Amino acid sequence: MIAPGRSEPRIAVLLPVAYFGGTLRLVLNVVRSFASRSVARVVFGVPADHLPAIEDELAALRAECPLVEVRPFRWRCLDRDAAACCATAAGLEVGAFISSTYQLPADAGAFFCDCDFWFFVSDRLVHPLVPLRPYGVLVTDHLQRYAPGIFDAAMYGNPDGPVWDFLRNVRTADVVAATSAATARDVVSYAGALGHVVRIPTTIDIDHFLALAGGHASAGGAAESVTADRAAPYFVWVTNSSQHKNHLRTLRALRLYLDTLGGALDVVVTGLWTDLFDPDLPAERIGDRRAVWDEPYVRSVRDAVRTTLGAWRRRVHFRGAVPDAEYVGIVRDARFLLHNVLADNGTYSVVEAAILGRRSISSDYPQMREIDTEFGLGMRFFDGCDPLATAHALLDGERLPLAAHADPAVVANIRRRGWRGADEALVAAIDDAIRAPRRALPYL
Amino acid sequence: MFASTTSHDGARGSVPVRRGSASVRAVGIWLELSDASLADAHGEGLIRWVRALISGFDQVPEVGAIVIPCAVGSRHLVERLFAADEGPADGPRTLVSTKLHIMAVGRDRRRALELRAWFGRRRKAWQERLAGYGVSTNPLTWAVGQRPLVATIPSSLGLLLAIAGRLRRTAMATVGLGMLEVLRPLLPRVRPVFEDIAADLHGRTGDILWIVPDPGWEAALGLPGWLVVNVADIVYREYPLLGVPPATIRAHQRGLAALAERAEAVVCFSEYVARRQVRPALAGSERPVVVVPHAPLVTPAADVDEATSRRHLARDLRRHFATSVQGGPHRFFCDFPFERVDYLLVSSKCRPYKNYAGAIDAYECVLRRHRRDVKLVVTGALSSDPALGAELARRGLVFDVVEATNLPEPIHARLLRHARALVIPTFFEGAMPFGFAEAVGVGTPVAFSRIPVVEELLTDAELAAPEAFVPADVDGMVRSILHVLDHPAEVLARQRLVCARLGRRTWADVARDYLACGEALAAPHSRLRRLLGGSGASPRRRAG
Repeated sequence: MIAPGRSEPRIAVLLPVAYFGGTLRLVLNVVRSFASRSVARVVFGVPADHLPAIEDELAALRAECPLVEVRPFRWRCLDRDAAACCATAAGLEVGAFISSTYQLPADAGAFFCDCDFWFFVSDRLVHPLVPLRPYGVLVTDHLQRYAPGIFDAAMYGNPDGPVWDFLRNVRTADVVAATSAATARDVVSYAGALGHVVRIPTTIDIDHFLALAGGHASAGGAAESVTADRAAPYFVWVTNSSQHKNHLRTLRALRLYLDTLGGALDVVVTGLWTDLFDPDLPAERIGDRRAVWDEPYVRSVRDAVRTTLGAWRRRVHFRGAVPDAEYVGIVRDARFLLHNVLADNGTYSVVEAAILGRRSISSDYPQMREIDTEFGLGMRFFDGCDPLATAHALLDGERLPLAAHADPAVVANIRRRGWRGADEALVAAIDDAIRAPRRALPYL
Repeated sequence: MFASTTSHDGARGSVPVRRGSASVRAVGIWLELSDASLADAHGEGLIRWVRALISGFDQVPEVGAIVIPCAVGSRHLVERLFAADEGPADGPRTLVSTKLHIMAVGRDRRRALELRAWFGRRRKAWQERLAGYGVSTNPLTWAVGQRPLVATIPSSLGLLLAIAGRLRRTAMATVGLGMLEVLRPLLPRVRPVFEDIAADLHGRTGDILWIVPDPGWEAALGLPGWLVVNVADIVYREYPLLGVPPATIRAHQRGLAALAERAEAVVCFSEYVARRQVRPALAGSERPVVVVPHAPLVTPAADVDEATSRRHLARDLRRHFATSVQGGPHRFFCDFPFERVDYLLVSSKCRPYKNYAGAIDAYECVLRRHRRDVKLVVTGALSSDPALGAELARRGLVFDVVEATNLPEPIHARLLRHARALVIPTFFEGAMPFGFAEAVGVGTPVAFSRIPVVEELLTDAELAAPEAFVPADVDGMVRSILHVLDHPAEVLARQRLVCARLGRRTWADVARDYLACGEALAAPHSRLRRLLGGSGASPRRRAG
């Protein structure tokens, strides 16, 4: 329970930047999770500019959790003196203010001061926060530790820049929630978190997954057709255009697989903007994505498709982002799923594939090992930095078993890990933070 | 007999040396270091070597006195370097050996030094005041300094008073700074005049063997008695792109030639340096080049238990970053929970031949490819090398590579104790790195590069161990580091045997090797024969 002695404790769940997709689903799950416990009033803070873009999701949330208050806010920047005033007014002892700019989430009335706890569902806070209330941060990963290319190199040399301040905000948080054991370690050893680090279980959008499984089951005859000998001769590579997705090494591995090792399967590439990797993409299909098309990294992948794959590129099919139903079809008809990134929070694509009876092969990193263990997927791992090892793993993938239905044990694991089943560790940590006297900060 | 006082007690005294014997009875160690260097030298390899050598002489009964001369005003700094323990901030200290005499000679320059220090402090305080207001000595900038007041003080009377007060302090600081600049040329010129010290020693030390640890310390030319000069290395001969200016190289060569000519022997710490660097540099000289390898440094016993020591280390590192470092590292590490992270340690200065670039390549691979959750703590100032500093930023390693420079020795010892592994990536050392035995002594396994000096001392089997690597081979370094991380007990057991074998040579043996030079000097006709002949069990060797 959250602060049982208090009347209506309020938790502000704040989306610090305009996220869509998986992160938005995650924050909505967090809001639902808190609201469903009826232990506190939940105020959902959304960047004011982002509100119209996620109106549908918010409508669904309001329908499901009518007591959740959706509150728009804007970030307000403060200089050092103003930050000191705010901190002192909030009863926060700060030894020294070491940044030049600070920030506060400013709602219409004040600064979420009617809430007892602020919970940010991402560490992307571009300036140090003045913690007028005890606060927590949800960290899905510190990707930049392993794939520094996601930020411009100059940002690492600028102590006043956001890359430094992301970590500062994790450092001073009262509670840090990490979605994997490896991330929890990074939170301490990389960001240097001083507060309570909570490892929250991997939670997934269970309805989404079970809908996939149900759709698959209800397909009836279609499900029957999914057998080893009727699966199409391709595997699916699920990725997107981000640099940490390790495209260049994967392309070298594909060349080795197709050419040197005589791999029998074609490759279907899906994911946001992956069709822009196709050197033969007609101009009309680029559309308003010209800026992405012209990005140096995207261009370098296109060049690599041309030069590394050579004539073999006709066996690689770039599909880009596809609707959910089409995606289900692609995965269901594939022989296996390839996931090859340098680092991240892990992908649930492999769980979706398992629901559809398809196995996956993945680059070896802790978060994927964790997903494999938690869901009992039996994945084949390889060294993502070694194209030859990747090529051999692809060859092994051809021999992975196919199934017409999801393994019941996997489905059971998915059910256990829905957001409704999230344990109480985070709630208890927040409760402790609300009850405890404010921790003095030597530096802010 | 020799005095056994803990320290020499008079600026004008002399060393009680027994005369009339052919044997050397007093040894002097010449340290030509400025006060600034002395103040920062506590953890330096040179000082640790001198302390170890003193401990060696302390065990040799034939030596009655060990002398370290210094300027009058520098005595407390030298005493601090050779104190047996931390001791009181002021007052007499117990030195590492009862035979040791810190001998303050030359003119007393303390008042002049104090005056200069006051000047420096005052200047800094005024400069900081102006910087704090965000203005300069140019009055046109002073209006800028009032902006924060205008923004924060609501009442007009209070604001006026505050502005008046700030303007007065700004004007005072500006006037003060101006006066200091005018008076600065009148300040007495204070330099460590080691020539004076050397000259003042004449007639006060008797028959004494001087050990000059650095061939660049030319004032030693004026010392009375016999000289043995150490040449640890002439590294620019093998690494010409170190950035040493030609004039500096020429001055070093002149100094080396002059000191070698004046000295009775030149001492190196390894065959490799003697053969590849010193002998060619002294071509034409008849001075013998003698190899006197180090003995392993003995690690002091741990003062507190593991957990407490770790907490102290974290506290001290935070304090270090909070007080002595500015910029990014200060911002990031001033409150970092060091007690909760594992780390690899590279302990050496930042020089191109120390191979920090290779170490960082290897570390990046260990962290990112092999996912070992460790930081890299380095004691070299990587940011002093612009290319290396930029590379750290380019690769996004600024939060994982911790530059802990100029650490006091106790913190360094803890840093060594709690590291997951010590990595010695160097391309070159003039002597077996002290860190090897020190780390093993505190239970930290070592991944080390196979360099000539190491190959001289380790057996083939020891060199073939997985923790040894070729420094140019980054993949090999990665494999070695991973092996040490994954099999620390196995590596440590093996390296303890290595250290036990190396430890058969003691610092008393090293001291006797130096004395052998002295004995040879006492009998000039037989000098060369004795030098070449060695001293019994000593592993001293003649360079080939």
